[in-house]
Amino acid sequence: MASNDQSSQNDNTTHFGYKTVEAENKASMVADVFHSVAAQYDVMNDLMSFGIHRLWKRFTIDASGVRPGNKVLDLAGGTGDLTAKFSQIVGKDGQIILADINSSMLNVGRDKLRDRGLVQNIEYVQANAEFLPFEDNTFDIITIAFGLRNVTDKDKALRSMYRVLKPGGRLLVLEFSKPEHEILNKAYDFYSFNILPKMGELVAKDGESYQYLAESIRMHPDQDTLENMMKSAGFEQTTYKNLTGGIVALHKGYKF
Amino acid sequence: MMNWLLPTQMLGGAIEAAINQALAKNINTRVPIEQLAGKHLKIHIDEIGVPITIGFSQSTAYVLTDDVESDCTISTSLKTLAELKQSQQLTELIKQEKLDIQGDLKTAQQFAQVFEQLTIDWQSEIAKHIGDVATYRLSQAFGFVQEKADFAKQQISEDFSQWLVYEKKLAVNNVEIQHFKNDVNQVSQRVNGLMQRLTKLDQQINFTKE
Ligand SMILES: C[S@@+](CC[C@H](N)C(=O)[O-])C[C@H]1O[C@@H](n2cnc3c(N)ncnc32)[C@H](O)[C@@H]1O
Repeated sequence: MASNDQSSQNDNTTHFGYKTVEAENKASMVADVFHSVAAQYDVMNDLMSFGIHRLWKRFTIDASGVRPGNKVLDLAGGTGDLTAKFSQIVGKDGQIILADINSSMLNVGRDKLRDRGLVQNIEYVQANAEFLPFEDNTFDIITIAFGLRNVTDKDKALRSMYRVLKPGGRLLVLEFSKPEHEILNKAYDFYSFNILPKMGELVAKDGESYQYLAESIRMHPDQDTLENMMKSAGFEQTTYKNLTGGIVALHKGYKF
Repeated sequence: MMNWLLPTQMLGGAIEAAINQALAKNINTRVPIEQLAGKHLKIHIDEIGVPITIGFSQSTAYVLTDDVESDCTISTSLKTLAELKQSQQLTELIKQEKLDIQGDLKTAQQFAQVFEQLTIDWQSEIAKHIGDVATYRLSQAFGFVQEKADFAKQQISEDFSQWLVYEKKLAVNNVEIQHFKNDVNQVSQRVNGLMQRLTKLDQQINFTKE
């Protein structure tokens, strides 16, 4: 369990990228990162991933089994890419809640979705994944895309997600993970630590935030550790699928 | 290997973009989309492997490429489609039972009515979109994929107009798709070989370091 944030250290500290910080400060430090990248977030996403994040997200939607009428929580939804697609599919009888801890990201998301005419079934809620402000058994589907690694207490967040899922509902976690191949791992490290922060500096004028992103990706639990964390939180029939050589993995688990 | 560039999702995205482009252009004609809200049509084409599900929401289409529930499923093969006359309309085909349809026939007819009114330029839309999804930039990053990606792009732009059921063209070239499949397998084998060689090299380097 070495890569599980909380268990490897004393109780009051956690990781902020590679730095160890007081747990209570992490949320606000993460918030600063996303306040500062919110405006350029979508452009950077395309640049950093060569546009592939769109396909990873599409894969997530495909794997979610979403149907018209479903109630979906897009947690750490940021600028709302998944929400936009879900909103179309669940239709007027369904509902999507875009939840994020960060008001800047939520605002960018809301503006973007409104511009696209998506209004009828989307609600915006500012919320921390560790303390979800929803009733038990509320959602058919919860997705958290590239969000879990920023959460301070991941186990707590997973339990919170489990609580608000309906029986029969499922959680999908899309997150950077551990590349399947050592060589790819090295190339990817080089890219993340040398190229990515420079791109951040050039485009978003914010190399530090992107340095944090690269570090937080490395500190995130690998495929099997995350699957075990999901099991501990109560999820059943857990599986994961590596995408693009394991750079990203999609974990899925059910509540019965 | 097939999960590297997620070709299925790329295809889904491309089809979706093509339909939406056509919808945007057809803004003045009265395409009866409202009646399709909340309905899913699934198309199963043997050679493509994954079912393609189409739905409409407000004025846009979305495409899912997984085994989702649908109101109506059409199963057919490229081969059957190739045998059909170019001028046949989808509604005619349904009447003549040249496509296997399961589920709600009315849904199929409603979808057919929409597609008959759209002039979809599969060829250029899909080529554009596949370029867009960074096939191009990625192939620059991984030089050895380049050739193959270009090949795929070319195949798709040349043949995609014939892949799917739409207004008038229903012919298709099965052989080329087989070629494409073989080619993808070959790249995948080459990449695996390359990975193995790199691992060996890496071990050697570490060895000499020590
Ligand atoms: C990298 S973005 C991902 C956004 C979007 N899901 C996507 O895939 O494009 C991560 C998001 O997680 C949010 N976040 C970080 N910690 C969170 C927490 N504890 N609870 C909820 N959201 C959080 C951030 O504000 C940010 O918007």
